[in-house]
Amino acid sequence: MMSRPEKNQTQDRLDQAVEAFNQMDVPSGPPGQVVKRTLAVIASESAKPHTFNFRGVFTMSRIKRIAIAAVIVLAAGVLVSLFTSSNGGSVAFADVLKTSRTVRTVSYSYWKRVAEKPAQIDSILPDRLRVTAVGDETNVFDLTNGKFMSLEPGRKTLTVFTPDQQAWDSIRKVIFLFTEFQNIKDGSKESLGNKTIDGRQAVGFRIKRELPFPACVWTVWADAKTSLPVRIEIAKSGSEVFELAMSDFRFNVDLDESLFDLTPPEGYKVINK
Amino acid sequence: MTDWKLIVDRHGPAVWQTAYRLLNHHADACDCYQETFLAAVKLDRRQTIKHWPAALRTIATCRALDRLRRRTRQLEYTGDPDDALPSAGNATRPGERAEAKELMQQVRAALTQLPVEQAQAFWLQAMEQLSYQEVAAQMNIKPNAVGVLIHRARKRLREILSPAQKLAPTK
Repeated sequence: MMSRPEKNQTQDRLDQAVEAFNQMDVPSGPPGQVVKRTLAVIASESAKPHTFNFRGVFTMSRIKRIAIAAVIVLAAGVLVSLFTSSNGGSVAFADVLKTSRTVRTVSYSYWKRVAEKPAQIDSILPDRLRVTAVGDETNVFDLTNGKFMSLEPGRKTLTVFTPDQQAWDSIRKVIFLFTEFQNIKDGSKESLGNKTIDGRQAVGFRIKRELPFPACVWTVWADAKTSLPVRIEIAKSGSEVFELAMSDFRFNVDLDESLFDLTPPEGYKVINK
Repeated sequence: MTDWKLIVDRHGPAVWQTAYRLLNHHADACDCYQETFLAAVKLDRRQTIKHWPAALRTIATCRALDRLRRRTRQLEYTGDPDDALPSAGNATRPGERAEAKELMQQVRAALTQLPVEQAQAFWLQAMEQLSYQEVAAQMNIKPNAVGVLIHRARKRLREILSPAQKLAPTK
């Protein structure tokens, strides 16, 4: 008989608490800067590419899960059969390196993260390379005679540099990236599976390196048929955004020797440095 | 394409209310507010959100309860962090205000002791005024299950709020 009033009393306390919460004076908010920050975070999150959230699977109904699983199994089967019938299997990173080391000339688009458009690279491997930038400048590097020149048609000037060994080492790391790629040792790497890159079936690998800057990650996508790279991205370790990228590769194309000629064009002022 | 500016403008105050009432801490409520909308963006990608107010209040409740639990784990819950701020609403007399504050503090602490789903269902129905059907839709469970969760939550809350429990050591 004693428990009844006690129960009522505690029941009242819960009801009182609910009432207190419902009548609570909440300070006005959130502050304007929090709203601004939130909108910025939303904009940033919305800009990210959509990725599948596996946790959502566990909140789905059983029928939905079974249906999705069936579709995935079916799709995987179709993909496997297509893939194995078209190129006969996967490519090892060692194959990619081996094939790449046989390349005599290479042309590709060279992207910097901060640049709006890529530069065009043409290279007779391993020691001559031309960078045709989007702007009004072309650079030609020639390791055979230890010089590089910078051509500015707008100002009609040709600057010829003769870097010392240390400077060349730096240039090699940053500019001769395909040569750097050829020199990668087939060590520890992570396989990224298959993906269609520029309309081609590609096999991906991720390698940790200390070039061209400390603690970076090279992501290499190679053509599943030819084993040659179709895209190479270099990002800072832990970052999903690349700093440098190479794409639109053309291999063993006959490149005109005049592309790498260091003779000053007529009417150009020559500056030696 | 979701008009996030409109959603934040329209439903932001309700999210803030939910976060602040549960957390009673300005900085925590600000963080919870931001986390709620970030989670909403992700949810919006996965599914069509039919009822934004209920969805946002549910997310805010989940996030705030998570935060409350973390806070309780980190430091033994000894009082409302924003005790200095007015928070006891329309309780006019100082004695009533203090009692209401203490009661709310006890409920916040008690909610961290409930299973997550019970605390969530109870809060959404009792404090956010969502119907059983709305709670069920948001939690992806049947309305009957909501009833069971709320019943259990109330029972446990009453036990925790009972005078016998109140006198027991808090540790």
